[in-house]
Amino acid sequence: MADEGNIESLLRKILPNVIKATLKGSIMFLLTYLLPTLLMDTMMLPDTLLEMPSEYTTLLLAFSAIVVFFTVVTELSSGTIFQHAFGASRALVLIMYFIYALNGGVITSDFQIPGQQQVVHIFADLRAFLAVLIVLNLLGFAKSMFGAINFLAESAESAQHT
Amino acid sequence: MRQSIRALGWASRILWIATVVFMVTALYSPLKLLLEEQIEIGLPQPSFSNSTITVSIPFFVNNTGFYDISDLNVKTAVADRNGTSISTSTTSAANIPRGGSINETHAISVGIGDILSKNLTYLLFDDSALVLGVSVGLKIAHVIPLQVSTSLNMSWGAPLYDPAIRIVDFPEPYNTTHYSIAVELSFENHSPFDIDGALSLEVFNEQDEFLGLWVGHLSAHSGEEYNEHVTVYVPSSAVSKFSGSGEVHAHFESPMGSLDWGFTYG
Repeated sequence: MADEGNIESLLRKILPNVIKATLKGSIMFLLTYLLPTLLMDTMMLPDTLLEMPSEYTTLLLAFSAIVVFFTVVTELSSGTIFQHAFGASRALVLIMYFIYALNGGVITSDFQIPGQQQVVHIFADLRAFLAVLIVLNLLGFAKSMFGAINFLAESAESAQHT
Repeated sequence: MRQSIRALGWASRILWIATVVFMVTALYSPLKLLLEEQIEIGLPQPSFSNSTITVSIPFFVNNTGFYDISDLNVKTAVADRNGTSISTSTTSAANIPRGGSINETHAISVGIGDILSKNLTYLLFDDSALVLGVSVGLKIAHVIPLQVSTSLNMSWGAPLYDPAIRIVDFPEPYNTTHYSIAVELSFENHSPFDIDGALSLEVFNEQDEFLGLWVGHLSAHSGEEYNEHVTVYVPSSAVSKFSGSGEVHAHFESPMGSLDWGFTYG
């Protein structure tokens, strides 16, 4: 009887987090993968122009996977120190991801014009943009660290009171 | 502490949204110009002056994107099939504000002197292929440098393709003082421009002794075959030097430049 009560209370505690994690994860997947893919397929890159290289689709999928994974685990570990640890990890993983995906800020790509032998080389210098992304992630990292410090401080405070 | 963490979180979220929106719109801007066909490239217009062939390519850009376009520059490099540079040209345009447009002309100039000095005279006589490298650089929203480049293979038609000069008839008496030699001059103008200028032919024998001279006008339209019979007058005193073989020196003078070349006959 006591075990059943424990399971029930555990479910009551976990279930809202699981539902929230599922919802947030789905929204993140929608925003980071489905929506950009849909936009590129319908608006930005029609059949008449250039096709999206498969490497970028893979990178987009990887970005979406990182964001969804950390959103879900952060939500599942909500109310614990792990929430902040996952938040900080996400910032560091995203920094590494952006450096890799943006090739250090200098992107070069070759496109073949459909129906022709000509190859078009595209070069974009996104170092300024990469710097902004790194700063933003460091901001997220700092927020998580402050959150962790605050969590530990509050835990110690409540332990002292009890 | 909690308030400052919350503020940090909101600041981070707002900055994330702003950055993503800026990045997406900034990269979509040039694509939008292409999709809406706001970049027009006119037909190349060839012209000649001071021994230089200039091909002018007008272009029009209407910036319907979300941001200003700055530092727009168009670079072209023409090289022959061996990679020898023939011409490089750059056109820079002023800042194109959002909603604004520009009308510029990019000029590719090739000096006949350059062709002669770089040992590229075969281009005057042989059809060949030229490599045209095109590079367009610009800055979107004054922040993101973008460069698009490609290379095109163009067929080159020689203006004096397959030139030939041959003596048709041996010297025949023309009057009491001169003999006449019938000379046939032929070539094909495969170039996209007409050839017009003064031509002189000097006939020499095997011992390189001067026999006679012809001065006239040469005019060959683009894509046409030139075939002309001319008469070179040889003084009676020099006709005995004619041996049936030797060399003809040709000198061509036109607004595009001058050219000397020799042909053996006999």
